[in-house]
Amino acid sequence: MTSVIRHHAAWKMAHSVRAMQKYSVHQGRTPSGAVLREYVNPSGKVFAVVWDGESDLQWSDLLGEYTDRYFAAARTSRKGLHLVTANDGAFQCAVFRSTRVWMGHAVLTSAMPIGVTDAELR
Amino acid sequence: MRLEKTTCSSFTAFAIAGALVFIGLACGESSVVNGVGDPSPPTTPESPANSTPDSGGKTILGNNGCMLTAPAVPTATNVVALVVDQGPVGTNELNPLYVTVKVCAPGSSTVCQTIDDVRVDTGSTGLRIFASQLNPAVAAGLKPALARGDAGPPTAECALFGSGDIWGAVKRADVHMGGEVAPNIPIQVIGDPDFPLANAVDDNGAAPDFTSECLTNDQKDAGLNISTPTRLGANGLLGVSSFVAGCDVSCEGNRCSTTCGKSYWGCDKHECQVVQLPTDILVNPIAFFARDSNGLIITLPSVPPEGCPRAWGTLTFGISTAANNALAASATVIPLVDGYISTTFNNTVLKKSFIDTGSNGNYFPAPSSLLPPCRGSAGFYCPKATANLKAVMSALTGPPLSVDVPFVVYPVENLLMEVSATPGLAGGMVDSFPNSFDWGLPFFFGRTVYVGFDYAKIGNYTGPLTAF
Repeated sequence: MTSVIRHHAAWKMAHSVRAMQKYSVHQGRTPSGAVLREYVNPSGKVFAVVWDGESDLQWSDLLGEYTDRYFAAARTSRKGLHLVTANDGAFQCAVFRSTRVWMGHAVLTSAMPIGVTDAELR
Repeated sequence: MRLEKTTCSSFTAFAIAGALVFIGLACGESSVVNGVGDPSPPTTPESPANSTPDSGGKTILGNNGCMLTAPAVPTATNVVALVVDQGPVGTNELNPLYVTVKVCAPGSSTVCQTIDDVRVDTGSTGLRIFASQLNPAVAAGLKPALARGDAGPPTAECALFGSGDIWGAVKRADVHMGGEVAPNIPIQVIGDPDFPLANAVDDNGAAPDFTSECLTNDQKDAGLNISTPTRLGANGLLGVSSFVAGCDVSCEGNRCSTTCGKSYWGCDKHECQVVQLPTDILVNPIAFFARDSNGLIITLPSVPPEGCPRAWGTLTFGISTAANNALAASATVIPLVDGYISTTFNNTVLKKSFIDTGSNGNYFPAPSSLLPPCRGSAGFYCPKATANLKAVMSALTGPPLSVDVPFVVYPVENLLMEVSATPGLAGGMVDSFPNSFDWGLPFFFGRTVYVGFDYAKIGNYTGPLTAF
């Protein structure tokens, strides 16, 4: 996945970095209050993106080359109107989007450092 | 809405998440039994003084615990019928909740159209209907919403849902439900011919200077456009969340801020620009009734874990505003914080949990040792048999408060083809949110659920809140 924080000037200006043992967490916030966290592995690859809140970001900003997989999941395995989950083994995501709500949690398992669990990517 | 009698087939197929599962199950003759089991009759919570009891107060059930026919709806101005069934286009979706609404040209009692199979969604705000459902007189009679109130180009909305995008004109209409009316409110007319997404090109035929995500997603992948009844699985969408407005515009002096982002667009000759401070924002119609406008009550019957072809209930307007909508003394009242409550399940606190009729199941994280994944239906739990579980709901604000919420999980791959209503649909696994319990439509079966709107006075409480 691509990095919004590194590629968008507005995000780059105001973000924090927290170093964990096996990865680093880059966190930024939009003027509208949306929070974005990118989890970066030691080779610099974003292996997880978590966001919460409405923003001007588009799917491709958040999911990069995995956007098509989300779109496919939205067509074939929607869980009602707002929730879509996808898991093809390599790419997992859960998205809830409606008026006033946009939450997402996407993980690229192949780039996830060994020993990191999905549950800690909150 | 279709009310035909239940049919049974001995062999059937159920398709979900791209997987097709064939199941052979015997299906006994249906018989009519009065008052068997533990179904909550689909009446309003307090016996309404001005209503007619259905079937002498008895619920008619088949021997599978399913209601066989639609019960009579109490004849009160603030109560309308709900149904869970296969909807207008026979989508294979489970647990869609439908209602009937009537839209009229503002101020008219004759230029009107009744639209059934409108999906009820407590997870969004605003009435959205398909232009294809409107007769020409009504279509012409709805009043276009202009970008600057009484001036500027007509506006359209790009509504973004997880399952896809909905694009359509914003127009003003009188919205009738039961005996109540929300006069002259903005609604979305999906597929309005004046706002064709595909034709959104400039006069030279070039790609438009128009960055609505509805358009860019449509150009990239038309599958994300759910602006047809078949793709939406409904003739419209009734968003009745506790948020009265779909987004906010607030001003202090000359300084204004908005949460509307790029939702609203002023369009002229197919060139569209973002309306920075929209005046016609979609709203929860119930909040604009003259009375019974502080909340709603959804009552659905109990449904066995194996599911039913359909289930009928009621939508009542107002909470503690009339004799038939009192907040039950036994109800647990939980305040909402930005729409959320807390839920504890399997010793995990999930602080961004929510209750949403627009979600077709309950979705929450659980280890596979507790709830194994389905083999063919990705994202769903498939226990060997019905799993009876319990979570604890609690408040994120105010006095400490918690309540046990029992629920069931049923292996979705065992559901019969004709089932539309099931309390046992659940999923999650590794691809669910780690902080959320999404209480979908299954939560509503066998309960009376209250939704109190934001800022509204509800007895001694102030919304937003949920109660059950």
